[in-house]
Amino acid sequence: MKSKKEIQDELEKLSPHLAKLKKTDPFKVPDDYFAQMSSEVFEKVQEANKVPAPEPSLSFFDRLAAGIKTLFQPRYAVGFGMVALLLIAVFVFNKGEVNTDSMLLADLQVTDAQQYLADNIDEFDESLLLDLDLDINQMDGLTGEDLDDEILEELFEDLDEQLLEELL
Amino acid sequence: MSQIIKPAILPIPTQDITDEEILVLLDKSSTYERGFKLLMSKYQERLYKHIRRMVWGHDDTNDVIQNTFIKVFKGIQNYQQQSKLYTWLYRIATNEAITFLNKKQRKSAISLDDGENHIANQLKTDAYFDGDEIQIKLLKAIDTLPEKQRIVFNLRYFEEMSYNDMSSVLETSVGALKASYHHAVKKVEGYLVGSGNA
Repeated sequence: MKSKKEIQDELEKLSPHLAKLKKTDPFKVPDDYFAQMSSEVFEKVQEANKVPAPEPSLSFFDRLAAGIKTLFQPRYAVGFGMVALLLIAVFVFNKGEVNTDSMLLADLQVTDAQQYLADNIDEFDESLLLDLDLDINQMDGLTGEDLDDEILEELFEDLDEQLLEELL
Repeated sequence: MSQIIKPAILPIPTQDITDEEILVLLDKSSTYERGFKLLMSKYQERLYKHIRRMVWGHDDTNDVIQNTFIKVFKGIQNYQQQSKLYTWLYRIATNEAITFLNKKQRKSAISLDDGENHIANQLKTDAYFDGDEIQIKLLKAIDTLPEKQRIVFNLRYFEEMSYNDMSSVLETSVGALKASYHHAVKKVEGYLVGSGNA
């Protein structure tokens, strides 16, 4: 009361005009506004203070199952799918190339190989040819210019007399 | 079938309960909700009026007061009992209202004249405003004051707060508050007399 009187006296000294005005409260609120406010705010405070519940402890198998399940989540599944497709593609293409080479060599006839050697004799090192156990038929198509004397001597040493007779 | 019987809670008249008793209730989880509702019942109307005089509209006031109480209950554990509970509440409410007004001002840059007319129109069309022309002019006069003077004027003129409590709310010296109120009263009087009212 004393405080209110002090405040009113102070105002009268400062501004007699203002001191005469009635201090009625022009601001209103909806019905039951204050009755409902505490419940509304309490809910919001509870929500804001809500602590997330701790995760229950899982066994090894539960964690394993959860891990596998995680791998099947769309973002991981797409990644793994891409990698798997890439690996399959690499395997198939590599396997195809190996099979092709093996198949070609296996199907190659001896005569064809001999013909190839004869046609491309320039491509082969002479010493390599000597190391091979060549049939004399392989020498078809070779000219004297292709063989020097030393090589010829080596070749003749390997030939038996019977074979020489046949050749002559 | 076992029936759960809740213990009866005897109603305590809000005006009779002290701030210390409310704080004790808030300190225990079993009585927290009761303390919460008692604190709100005791202060919500005063804080609402204080905020409403700063932001004008009911909807805006509702937002600000809800944020105020959410902050109060989040920070009640950190409340230092060096200041009165009610001055601490007023400080939070004032800061929340200032933050709201600053955000609103950034969104819509209104000149002073436009602002006055805007407030008058807002009050006239407000379903929850029941004032006459003189009261609208008084509010327009208060709205011309700088922010700090406006708050000081409202706390002293409408809420009849002592300078000591006001000093705790605004963290300003009593002398500075007296000077601020003196200037504010003179400006409001000048506005009302100059516009041919009061």
